[in-house]
Amino acid sequence: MSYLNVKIRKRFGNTSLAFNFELPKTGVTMIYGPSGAGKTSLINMISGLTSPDMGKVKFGDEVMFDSHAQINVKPNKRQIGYVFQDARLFPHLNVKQNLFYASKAENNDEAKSLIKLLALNTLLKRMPNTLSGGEKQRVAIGRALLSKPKLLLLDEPLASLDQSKKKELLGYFKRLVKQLNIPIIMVSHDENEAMALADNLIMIDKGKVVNYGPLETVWNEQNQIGTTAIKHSMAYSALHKFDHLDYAMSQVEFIHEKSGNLTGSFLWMKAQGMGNGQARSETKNLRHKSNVNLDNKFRLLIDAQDVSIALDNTSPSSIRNRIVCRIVSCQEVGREQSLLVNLADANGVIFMAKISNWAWREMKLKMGMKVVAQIKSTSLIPIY
Amino acid sequence: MMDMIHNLALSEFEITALWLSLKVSGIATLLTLPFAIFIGFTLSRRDFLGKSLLEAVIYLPLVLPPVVIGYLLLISFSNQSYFGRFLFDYLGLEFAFRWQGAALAVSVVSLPLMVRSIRLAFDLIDTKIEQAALTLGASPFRIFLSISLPLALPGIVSGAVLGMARGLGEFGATITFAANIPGQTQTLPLAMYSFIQTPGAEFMAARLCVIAIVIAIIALLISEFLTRQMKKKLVGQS
Repeated sequence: MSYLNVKIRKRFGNTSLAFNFELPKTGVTMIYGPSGAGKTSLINMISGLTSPDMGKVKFGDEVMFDSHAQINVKPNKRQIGYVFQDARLFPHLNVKQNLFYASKAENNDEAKSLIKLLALNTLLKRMPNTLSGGEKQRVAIGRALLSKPKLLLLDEPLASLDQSKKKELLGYFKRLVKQLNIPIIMVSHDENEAMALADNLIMIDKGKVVNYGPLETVWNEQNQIGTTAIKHSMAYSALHKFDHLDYAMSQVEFIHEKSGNLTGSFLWMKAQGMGNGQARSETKNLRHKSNVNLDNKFRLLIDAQDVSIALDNTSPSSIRNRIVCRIVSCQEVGREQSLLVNLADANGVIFMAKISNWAWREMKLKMGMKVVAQIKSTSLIPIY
Repeated sequence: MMDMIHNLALSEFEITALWLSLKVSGIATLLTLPFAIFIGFTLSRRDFLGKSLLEAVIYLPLVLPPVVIGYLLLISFSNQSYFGRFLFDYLGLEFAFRWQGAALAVSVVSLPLMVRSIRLAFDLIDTKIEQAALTLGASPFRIFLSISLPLALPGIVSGAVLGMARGLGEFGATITFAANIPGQTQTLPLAMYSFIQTPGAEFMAARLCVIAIVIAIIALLISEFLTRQMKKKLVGQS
């Protein structure tokens, strides 16, 4: 069931844009691509701030734009929420007046809980120019959501913030996204943002949709074909299963990207949320996580450079993750004299290793050959 | 002569001229302001056929000799003209040789100054902010009232003050169109002109000159004060 249907074309000078995709009713969709790819133009056309030359935009059953039927619903009638990169608060209104510009319901519980969630209670009387960048964005998000939109558009809302503020705002987003029951479309060129927030990915480049669908599928497919626009890495969803208390290591289990089921494949990585002191006082050296809940899954991005290949795992190694795999495919990377090798383990989880042509030849690697994928546990960083 | 020097209080004649000046330019400014705001906003935000022509017509009084404006007003609004007669017969309006005429002359002359300052104020507003209001579901009219107008207010006020100051000093168009009738159309500059023409009344002229200067200074101070207050409000008390 798709909710948002977009099939539009637009010419800007001598660049032409053509976008064609459908999105489900809920979830976060990240429009991801290099700058200048037409990301902002795309959401401006969805919002109605700019009009496509031709095509169709539909929200559910409602036609917002149809060049044939000459329908072009004005932006103020589209019931969208739009959070701009530069916040765009009304400078002559205080935070409270900004928040409730579109809505009169100042005292309902929904508004109160949103203000609480975005931690805006102490800011209500302040004027926009006295706010920090992160505070401004929080107000802008609150303002957009209080207008009760059917669709939320965000244009790189984190781009103008420094790293620590970004992280903070990302936290607010994560909490918010879980509560919202509307489709969210977010423009980004930051892979961490995409991994942390997105369910779906629309990858665009040079004014075209290159691929779209569930994030991991799209990300990994694009990597298989060696797209140069993104760096070579594989995205996974995983769940925290065990803590090794003696060594402050955690074991995580991969989740199957399409079905959402556990795969039975595990990986060791640095301990997640476990203090060292606490670890030593425990007697049992393996602790089962008490609340294994599929909602607590997180994303993991494994860089192909952090994956190496060994012929067997008989000799001891400092590398903790040694997974028996088969070579399923192999792809040359540009003119680098290196290869991207796809390896499938017994449960069908695919790993990608970037190795040199030299290594491939010397190890006499072949398609279908049984090898060991080695992943350093310290190189793995979960993205929450 | 000597007792007049020591008499700082305004004479009845001076009060009449001053009051008439304030009335004429005050009413003219108030009535012109809505048009100036509308025209300023339209010129700033819209593109339409004949925009340059409209601009030229509105800015024309800035460069035309005021006498020409007075003359044009006279031939179009006097009882001899069709338009003037129409206004008198159907609306009971009469302009020539009346204070209403002086106000009309002031309106025409101060409109371009007001439009310029107001248009500039609208030009300076980031239209992205208005776009944001649009995505929040606000109608263009609501955006104008709640966003554009308050943000342009300092420019609107300074435009109005500028227009009124120009009106207080209006001479050429007024004397041509409304004549120089004491108590009716004889504003401060016109009274001063009469004194200068009269031998031995130089001192009376000098007194009016001082009054004119004082009013101008007060107007500038008020405008400064208002603009600063509004800017402070816009920026917020941090």
